[in-house]
Amino acid sequence: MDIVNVNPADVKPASEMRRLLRAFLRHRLAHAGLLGLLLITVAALVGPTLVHHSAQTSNLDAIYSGPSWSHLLGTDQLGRDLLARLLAGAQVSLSVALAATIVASLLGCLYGLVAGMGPVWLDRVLMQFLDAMLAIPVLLLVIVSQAFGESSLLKVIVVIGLASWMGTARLMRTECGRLMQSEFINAAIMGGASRLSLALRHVLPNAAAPLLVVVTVGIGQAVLIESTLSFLNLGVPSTLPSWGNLLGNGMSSMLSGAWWVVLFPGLMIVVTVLCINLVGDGLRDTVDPKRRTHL
Amino acid sequence: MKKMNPLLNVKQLSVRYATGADEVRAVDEVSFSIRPGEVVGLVGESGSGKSSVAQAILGLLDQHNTTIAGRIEFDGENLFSCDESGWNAVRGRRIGMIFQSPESSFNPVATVGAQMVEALRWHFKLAKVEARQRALAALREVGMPRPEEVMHNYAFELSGGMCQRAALALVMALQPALVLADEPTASLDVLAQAELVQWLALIQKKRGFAMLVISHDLNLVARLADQVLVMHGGRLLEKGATRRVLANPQHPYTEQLLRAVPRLITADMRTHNDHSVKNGVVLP
Amino acid sequence: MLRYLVLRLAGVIPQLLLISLLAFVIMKSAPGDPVASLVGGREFMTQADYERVARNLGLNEPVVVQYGRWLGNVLQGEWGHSIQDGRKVSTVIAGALANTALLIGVAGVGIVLVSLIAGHLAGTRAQRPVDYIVSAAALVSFATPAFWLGLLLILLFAVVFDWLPSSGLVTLGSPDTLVTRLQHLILPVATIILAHAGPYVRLVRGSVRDVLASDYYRAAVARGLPRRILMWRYELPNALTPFITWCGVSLPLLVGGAFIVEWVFSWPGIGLLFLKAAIAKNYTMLMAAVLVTGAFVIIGNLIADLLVAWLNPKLRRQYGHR
Repeated sequence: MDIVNVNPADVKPASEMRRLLRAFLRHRLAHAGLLGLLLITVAALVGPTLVHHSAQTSNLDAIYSGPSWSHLLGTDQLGRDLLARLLAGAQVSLSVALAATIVASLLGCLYGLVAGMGPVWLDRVLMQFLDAMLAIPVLLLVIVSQAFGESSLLKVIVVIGLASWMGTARLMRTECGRLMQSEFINAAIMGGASRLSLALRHVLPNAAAPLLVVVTVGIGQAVLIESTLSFLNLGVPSTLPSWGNLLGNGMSSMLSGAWWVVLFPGLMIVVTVLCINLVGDGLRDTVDPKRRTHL
Repeated sequence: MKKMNPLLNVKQLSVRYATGADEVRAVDEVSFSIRPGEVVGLVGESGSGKSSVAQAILGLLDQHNTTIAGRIEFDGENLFSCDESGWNAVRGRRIGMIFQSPESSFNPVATVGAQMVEALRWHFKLAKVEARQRALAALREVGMPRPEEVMHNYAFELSGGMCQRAALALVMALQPALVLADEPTASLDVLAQAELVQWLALIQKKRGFAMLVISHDLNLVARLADQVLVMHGGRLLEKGATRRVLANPQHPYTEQLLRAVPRLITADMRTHNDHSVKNGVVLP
Repeated sequence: MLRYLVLRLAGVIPQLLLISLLAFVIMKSAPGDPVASLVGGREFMTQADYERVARNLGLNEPVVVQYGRWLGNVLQGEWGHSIQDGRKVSTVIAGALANTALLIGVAGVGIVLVSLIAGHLAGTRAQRPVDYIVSAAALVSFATPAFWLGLLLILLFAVVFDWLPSSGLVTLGSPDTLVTRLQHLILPVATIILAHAGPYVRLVRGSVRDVLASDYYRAAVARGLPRRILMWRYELPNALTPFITWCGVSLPLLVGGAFIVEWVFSWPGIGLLFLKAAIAKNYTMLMAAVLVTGAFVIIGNLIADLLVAWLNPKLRRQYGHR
């Protein structure tokens, strides 16, 4: 059997995947990012049980009290403990970002696969629409969508997902084009594989690595979009603490001199997105060593 | 031949690349010299360090992760003590270089003519009109058809052979005393190769510059070079007059290299009675 | 070049169509009864009057016809009146557009300068201290939400030090001079540049490194060309094409970011208008802001594409012109 006719994904688990994993683990910045994400996730999961204060209980005697031993990061305009709210907010912000990215990735993959493997006219139409979508600022889309109707957690997730599938779709379409030219796909077509099995068994597994890069970076972008929406009070319901919500009345807090209310939630966002991007960079360099972008 | 002071004198040149934790000895204590007007061939398989030698001579190696030891004298001057303006006076003007891939060695956003004029104006402080005329003359000298048109062409609009001849013209126009030709024919098709070699030989005779021809192609080296250096694994294994080395190799590696030359060429070339053929290589 | 322009303009049509559809949907999905709102309530009209008015407004026609009529009005500049204060939407939008253009224009020039200079420094001194600092700063910039950075800058420069004004175009009650106008520009522009320059810097750094590693750059060095020529005729023009392409592609991102910055600094531009409209559910204004923003981005993209085509000799040759 000619070696080029073998689906690379079938060969990967043995050697290729291990090589990629090893290369990824050698990437020092990706290490830092992974470690940071791990810490943030653990903090979000077990943190709230370790903090004495509740994220929701207000204490009108301690409005805007600065960082101290009893409130490590200070309190907000209702005297709620900021650390407790940050940790609870981490759960909300991260799960919204993750869920929205899953929605976007599924949609993007499906769209790209249909465009890349469907009839040519459909491909043209879909890619025109994609290009047109890319010309509209994502923030504009999500804000317009959020301006209609009541806000709910599910709605935020769907809205962010529906506004950020384009990158994945574009990548999937490109990968389809690339892979459909390859020898092993031709061999599979000769062997009578159906479109569906081509897409699921051959194209998707071989596009997995670059997809992973886009999805990873997408989570970071989703965190940023969610925080912006919530900051404008157009995101998750204001009763839920999310990092963006905590910043929501940042302006008035700041004018009261409560800088900690603004500083810490923002730092959480920056550190989280930074760590995600570091992991994304590491993945990209591993998948495509020729285009190293990092330091 | 009259004994002359060497034009280029490479003494104990070593080049080491640092790649992560490992260090690669690309060139290991290589010494040789080139007299004015002499053509020296440097042969070896890819990875033998021959290109590193040429790049070291022009100071083109990335200084960040390479260590260079030894000494390179050009016209009595130590090149390693050159500062930036010193290099700018040597590069191009005194030592020219022809690269392997002709199209990619031209700036993709400038025309061939613009790049020739730019180099001529910088090195000779010429007016635009005069630089243009010299560029045209150089293109004619390498037998470029329709030189006026080529001046306005981008590299991507020329064929590989045309491109390489334009590159040759660009090097010639600056009237260097030494030309380094790094695999000048490697990326050309066979016909363009033959044509380029012809022009290279012709112009070298006419202008009388010295030349270092770096190639894995023994036939090319045999055709052009007076002296041959054989490199392998960063070391210089053998040097001597071309005829002697190719006809009577001293080092087993040279012999191996000669045996690897495709036989088809011999059968074809044997009919030429002005060439003698030994070990598959057409001797001058 | 003309042929390229025509081809590229044809590509704009679906984009404009999509943005206008989005705007139309916004307008149509405004809650409430448009007929009843004309006279202040359904109870003031007879059934016959109601139907006549609805017919006159074209509300009983198919949606496609309504869309066509609406599009015609929009193209003639009849954008209706703001439901909040009754001002003509087109007038309000025009004033805001000028402010937004000023903000994005100045910030855009800033981003171009910062990223070209920082990218050049980092790219030409790869893996040295300058590179590490620039690259790290770019990574952080990429992860920083613009609105938060804006708040921090306000906190630092307006609240703590009281050096610069934190909001608006001018300070109420004080003379409106060029100096005060510039002062009001500083913080929002700085916010946009710092929060958005990251990816641009990384891109320039990458392209500069690509150029420096290229055969033609090495050949130019081997020709003894001085730094000045290497930089201006080799490095810059070759790094410029991917940069301008990215500028076009990333324009929606930049515009989105600028809108939030307008909100944070109460900068009276389209973004502030848009966000206020979104929060107050002022649908006519929302529709107008979406239309203008879409057009702004599409035109910006078009300009970037034409610039790239004009800079690219291959495209220039392919589409005629000597």
